[in-house]
Amino acid sequence: MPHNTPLLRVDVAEHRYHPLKQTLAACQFAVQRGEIVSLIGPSGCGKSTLLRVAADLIEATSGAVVCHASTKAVLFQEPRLLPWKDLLANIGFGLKGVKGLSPRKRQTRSLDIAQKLGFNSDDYSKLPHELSGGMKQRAALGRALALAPELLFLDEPFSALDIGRRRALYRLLLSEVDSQLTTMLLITHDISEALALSDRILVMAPEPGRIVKVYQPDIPREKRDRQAVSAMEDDFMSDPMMHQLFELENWQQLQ
Amino acid sequence: MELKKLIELQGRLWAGWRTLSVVCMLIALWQIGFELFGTLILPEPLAAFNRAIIFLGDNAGYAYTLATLKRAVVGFLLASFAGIALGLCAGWSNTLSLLCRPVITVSLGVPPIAWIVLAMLWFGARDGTPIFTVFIATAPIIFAGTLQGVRMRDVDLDEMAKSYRIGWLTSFWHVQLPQIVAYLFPAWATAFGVSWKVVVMAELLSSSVGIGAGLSEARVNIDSEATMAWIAIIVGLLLLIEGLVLNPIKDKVEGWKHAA
Repeated sequence: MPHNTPLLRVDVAEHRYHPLKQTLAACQFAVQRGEIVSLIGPSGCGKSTLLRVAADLIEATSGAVVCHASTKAVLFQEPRLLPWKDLLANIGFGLKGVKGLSPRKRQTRSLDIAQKLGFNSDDYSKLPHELSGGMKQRAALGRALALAPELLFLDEPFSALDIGRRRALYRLLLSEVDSQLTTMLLITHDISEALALSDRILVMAPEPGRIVKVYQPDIPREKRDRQAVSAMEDDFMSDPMMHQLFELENWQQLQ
Repeated sequence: MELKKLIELQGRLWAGWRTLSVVCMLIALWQIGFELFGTLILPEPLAAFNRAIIFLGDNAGYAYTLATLKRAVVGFLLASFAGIALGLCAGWSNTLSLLCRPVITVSLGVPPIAWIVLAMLWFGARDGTPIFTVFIATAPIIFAGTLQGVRMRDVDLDEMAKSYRIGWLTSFWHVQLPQIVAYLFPAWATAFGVSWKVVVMAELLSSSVGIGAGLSEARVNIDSEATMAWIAIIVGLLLLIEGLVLNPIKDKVEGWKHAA
C-alpha cells in the first residue's frame, strides 16, 4: 500500500433509517494513518450515524467505505460491558474476535492491559455493577486497547465523566495512541477538547447530516497548551456559521 | 472469595429456613382446621403424613409417584426443547414474533382440561395423555418467555460484539444467551409448577397409575386422609425440586442481576 493512501475513506452518498427521512446527505472524508480527526456538531446532526457507517457497524443506504486497517475498535458512549462477566473477562472479550488466539494468551493480554490502565488486582474479579462509572469506561477503553487497534472510533466515550477523570482517560488514551501510531476518529461535543486533541476537525450540520466545514489547526498537536487552545477556540468560533449552527448568537456573553 | 462463598451459603440456609417456617405455619393452620371441622373435612396432619410415608414405602404407591414424576418431567422437557427452539426462531425474526402473538394468546387461552379431553381421544389411557397435556400446557409459557428474552435483549451489546467481529456462535453464547436465560428462567419455573398441576389433573381423569389415579381412588373411597397424603407428596416433591434444582440454577444464571 503506498504511503499516501488514506487508512479510511468514507464516501457516503446518503443514508436513511426511514425511507422518508434523509439522515445523512453526501459526506466525504478520508483519514490518514496516525491522524486524529474529530467530528463535531449540534446534537442529532448524524455524527453517531456517520461514525457507525465509517466503523462498518451499519451500511449506508448508498455509498462506500474503504478501510485498510487490519484491526479496529469502537468505544461507545456507554461502556457496554457484559454485566455477567468480571472485569478481566470484559477486557478480554474483544480478543475473542481475533482468530487463533488461545484463551491463555487472551488472559495474559487482558492482565497486561488491566495493569497498564491502573486497575488493582482486587478489581479483576469484580462484575461491572461493582465498578464506578469511570472504572467502567476505563474497562471499555481497555477492551478496545487490548486489540492494539490500528484504527479507533470514539463516540463521546467519556462525556458522562467529570473533567478530571475525562482528562485522565484522554491522557491514557493518547499515550497509547502515540506509542502505537493509532489512527482515531472521534465524536465530541466539547469544542476545546476537539481543538486540543485533533489534527483535523470536521463540523457537521443537521437535517440532513452533512459536513459543512473542515478546520485544520496551524499548531501541531504536541505544541498545544491551554493558551494556544483558547486562542484556537476564539479563531474557530469567530466564524458566524458556527454561531448559527450551535445557536450561539452573542456567544461571548453568558447572559 | 472465601467470604463471598460463606455469604452465599448463609443466604441459601436462610432461604431454606424461610421455606421451612412457612410450611410449618401452613401445617399449623391445617391442624387448626382439623380440630375445628373434624376428620371428614380435613384429616389430622400427622395421620396424613403417616399415610404418605406408607404410600412411599409401599411398592404401588412408590410406582405411582415415580410414574407421575416421569410424565411431568418428560412432558416438561419436551415442552422446553420445543418452546425454546421456536421462541429463539420467532424472537430473531420481526415478522414471526408479530405473527406468534395471537398464537400464544390462543394456546394459553385453551383450558388444560379441554386439552385433556382431546388427548384422551388421541392417546387413550396410556402415558401419552398426561405427557401431551403437560407439553401443550407448558410449551406456550416457555415459548413466550424465550421470545420475550430475545426481544428484550440489549441490542447495544450485540452492536458491541459486532464491532469486535465476534463470531455468531460466540456472540450468541456470551452476549445473548445470559440475557435470554434471565428472562426465560421465571417462565420456566412457572411452567414447571404448572406441569405438576396438569399432570395430576390428566391422571385423575385418564390413568390407572400415578398420583392422580391415587387421588381418584381416594375420592371413590371418600378417603380424605389419603387425599391429603397425596397432596403432601406432590407439594413435598415440588418443594424439594425447587430447593435442590431450580433455585441453585437460578442463583447461577441470575447472580449477576442481583446488584450489590
